[in-house]
Amino acid sequence: MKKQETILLVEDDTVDQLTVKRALRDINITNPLKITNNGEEALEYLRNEKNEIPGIILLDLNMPKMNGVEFLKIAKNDSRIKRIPVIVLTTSKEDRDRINTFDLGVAGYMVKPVAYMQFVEVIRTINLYWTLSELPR
Amino acid sequence: MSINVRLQIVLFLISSILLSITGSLVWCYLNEIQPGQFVQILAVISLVVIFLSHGLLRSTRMSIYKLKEGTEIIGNGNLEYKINIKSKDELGQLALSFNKMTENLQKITISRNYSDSIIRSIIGGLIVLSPERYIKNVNAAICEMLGYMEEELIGMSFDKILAKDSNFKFVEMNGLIDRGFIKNTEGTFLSKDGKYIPVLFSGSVMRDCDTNRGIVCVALDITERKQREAKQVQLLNELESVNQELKDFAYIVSHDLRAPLRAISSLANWISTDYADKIDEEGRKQIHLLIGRVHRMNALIEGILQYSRVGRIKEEKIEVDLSNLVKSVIDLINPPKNIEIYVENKLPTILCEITRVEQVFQNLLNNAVKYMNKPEGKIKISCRKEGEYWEFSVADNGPGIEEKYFEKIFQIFQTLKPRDEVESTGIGLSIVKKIVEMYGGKVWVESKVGCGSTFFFTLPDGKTIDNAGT
Repeated sequence: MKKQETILLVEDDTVDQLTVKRALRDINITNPLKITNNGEEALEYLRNEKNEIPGIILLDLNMPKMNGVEFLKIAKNDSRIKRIPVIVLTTSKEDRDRINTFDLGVAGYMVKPVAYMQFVEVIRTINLYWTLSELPR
Repeated sequence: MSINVRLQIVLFLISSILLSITGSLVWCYLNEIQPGQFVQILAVISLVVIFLSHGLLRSTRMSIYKLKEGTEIIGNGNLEYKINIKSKDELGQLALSFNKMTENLQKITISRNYSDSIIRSIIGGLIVLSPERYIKNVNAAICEMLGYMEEELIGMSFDKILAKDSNFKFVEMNGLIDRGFIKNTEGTFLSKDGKYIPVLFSGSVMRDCDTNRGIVCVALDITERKQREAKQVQLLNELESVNQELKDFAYIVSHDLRAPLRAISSLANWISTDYADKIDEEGRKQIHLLIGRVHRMNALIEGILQYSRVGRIKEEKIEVDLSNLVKSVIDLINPPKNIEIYVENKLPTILCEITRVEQVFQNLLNNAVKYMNKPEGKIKISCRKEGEYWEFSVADNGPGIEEKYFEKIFQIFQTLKPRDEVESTGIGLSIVKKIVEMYGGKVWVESKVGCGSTFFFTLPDGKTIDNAGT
């Protein structure tokens, strides 16, 4: 992915965390990957001045403590965080989730496929888009 | 005793005396009686005459008294009263004319008794108000409704029986007086024991030469109707909450059940690649089966979601040319070369939710392709107008279905082949049934084992645009 910017994964499921990690490795993406387990942890990480601002956020929706939509409501009102592209990575195909998250300015919405190889394709597509798309500085 | 009667008596006495004297003189002259006896005869005749006059006078006075009494009773509104004078003289004639008059009056007017009994027997509550809104008259129904005695209500201010939040307060009542009437307005009465009684209220001003003579009000107790309405609202709320639960359920199924499934799938995949050198042929077969089951379960969850979406997600009805729709469905299914799908006659354009109707054709055609067991498969789509409905059919020359399964195949999760033989969730036909029945149509199958099956379904004509060349 772009240069060596950090990828922030907000995901509570250990296997899903492993899946993303493995998929990145399988398509030779070497950017540092920071994993937080829910929205609260992600905000804490993002607000800590010591941490470098990540280049992209991969966001799960259904998480304990603070879910993805709740995280977006806060993040998109935080001038330090709001321009970081957020890609939703979820199991939900529900209309209301798609509408809510796009209303909150996400850059993409990907449904996690059941088959691992398809999951790798999803990560490959995100990478391609992120690499080609011009982003605000 | 009136002057007239006294004058009558004096006149009677004078005429009696004159009659007696004249009679005595005639008697004496005819019988050559001595004047000495004259006084005696005069006395006898006088007595007889006085006695007769007195009787005559008495009967006349009785008749006059009866007439007087009768007029008073009739004057009080009892038009059924008859004056009982049987004599044939002028007084008798007068009584007869009087009775005739009351009879005629009775025919053209309503007696007080009659109108009172009408008011009493009206089932709705009736209140008559004075122009100042004091209660002047009530019926039994309103007394029962409010728990007051009639005597308590009469003279009471109307505002005392109105609940504080009643719709028809002073302003409305003034409006009623201006307009002349108020119709079927809902309001609330206050009973004697402080209970609120919802009523349907109508009122009308009685006018006499533009003078307000009072207001007649009718009130119907609508407690039961209000209770029914409240019950309906409650049921509707319950229904909404059940519906919400169903939506939530679908969400949970779509998300929470699928997440662990995905994990199982990924882990199995990694084990088979990472430990490929440590797993033998048998182990690889088992992992393959494991992943297959995961996909099957995923398909079942997807099916449940699709099934629950029918009717839950509303779509706008648009005019759909079914010829185009079926063509695109066939393209999507992309049948193998040995199976031919063709449309027998031109399909109509109907007003429908496109995704739903598409799903019906797609599921039926998918099944026909999936279960085809002949080297040369033929699937025929046709339609015909049947009264208010369009009847569509999808006929194949596949394996056919035994008659005892004709109903069962439309139930959710029912399949006739083992899932390992033909991968199927058993949801397709149940969705077809749900959609068709949602539109008020029917779905059924005709089949002969070995020869093929024909699935029929109907869709209401509705606002169809008849361009089918049948």
